[in-house]
Amino acid sequence: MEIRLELLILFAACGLVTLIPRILPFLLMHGLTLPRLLTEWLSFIPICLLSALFFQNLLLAQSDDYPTLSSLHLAASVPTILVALTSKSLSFTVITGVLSMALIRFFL
Amino acid sequence: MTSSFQAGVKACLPTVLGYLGIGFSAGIVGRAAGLSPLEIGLMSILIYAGAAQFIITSLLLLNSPFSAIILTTFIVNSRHLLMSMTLAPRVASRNRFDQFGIGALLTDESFAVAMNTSLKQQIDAKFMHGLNLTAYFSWIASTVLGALVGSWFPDPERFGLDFALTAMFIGLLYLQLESERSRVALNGILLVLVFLLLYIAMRYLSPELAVLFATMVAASIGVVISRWKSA
Repeated sequence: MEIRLELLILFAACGLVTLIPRILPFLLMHGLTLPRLLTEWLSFIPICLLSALFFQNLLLAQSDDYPTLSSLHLAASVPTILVALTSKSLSFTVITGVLSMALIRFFL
Repeated sequence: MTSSFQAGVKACLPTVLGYLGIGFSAGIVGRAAGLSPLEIGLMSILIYAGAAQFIITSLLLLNSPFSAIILTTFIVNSRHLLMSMTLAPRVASRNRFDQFGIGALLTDESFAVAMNTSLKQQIDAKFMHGLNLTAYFSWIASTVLGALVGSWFPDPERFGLDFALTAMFIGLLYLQLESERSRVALNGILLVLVFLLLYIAMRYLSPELAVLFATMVAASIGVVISRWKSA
């Protein structure tokens, strides 16, 4: 088992550029009263970001064209969404998602 | 250990499953790309970002220059700025060390769990540390585990593990929608908007930048609609 020095340096650099956007608002916004417009805008971030991340998982990027919908991911999402709605449990939702995807791949 | 820390650990548990699935896959993929288990563990400790680690691994395989890998990592992870900005004002702590710790270990999942909890109760630093540290150690352990036993599972996709992340986003999005029932109609409009914006943006931008773009534009439209409705 080894750790290559150049990879250590690369990972440290990647870690640093990841760390900066993570901690900056915590260090700067401390004790600040934010303008109402900004807090209002920020209140929409969770829904918009989470839905964008979900939709991005359904779309397949194409070069120089609009993305296509992945029918595989769409198909696995249906039971997952249904279980999310009925169970309201994150654990069940994740298990259902993984099992659905495994089953769909098994039968395709 | 205080009860607030424990509450954070407990709140994290449902997402641990997702971290395990994705981390395990990330370890397998890393091993297949020629990284040692130690290097994979190091990557998880230093970077700690699921999507970025998959992308870094694939760029290493393509022999991309380090400058390009670092820039890509920055772009992929810049969405944390939005999450940090949203969460920072809601955490009651004046301690700089606490704030640094909370920000440094923020992920999509811990952000969503924290936002969800913050609607029900005031979240403090100890809660966030419990939540973040549980997620952090689950991630490191699962990537190393994937690296160690990866050769037994040459094709993690067959087991649907790659879908754990998508499923987690579905669950987290639903819980967030559920906690924002007061503006259910507006959120419905925003979901459609986000999809359309993302669809269009993905033609011109990388998927990560498209996510950032769609999020910021849709949130702005959300402000406009809510102001126009209350005017």
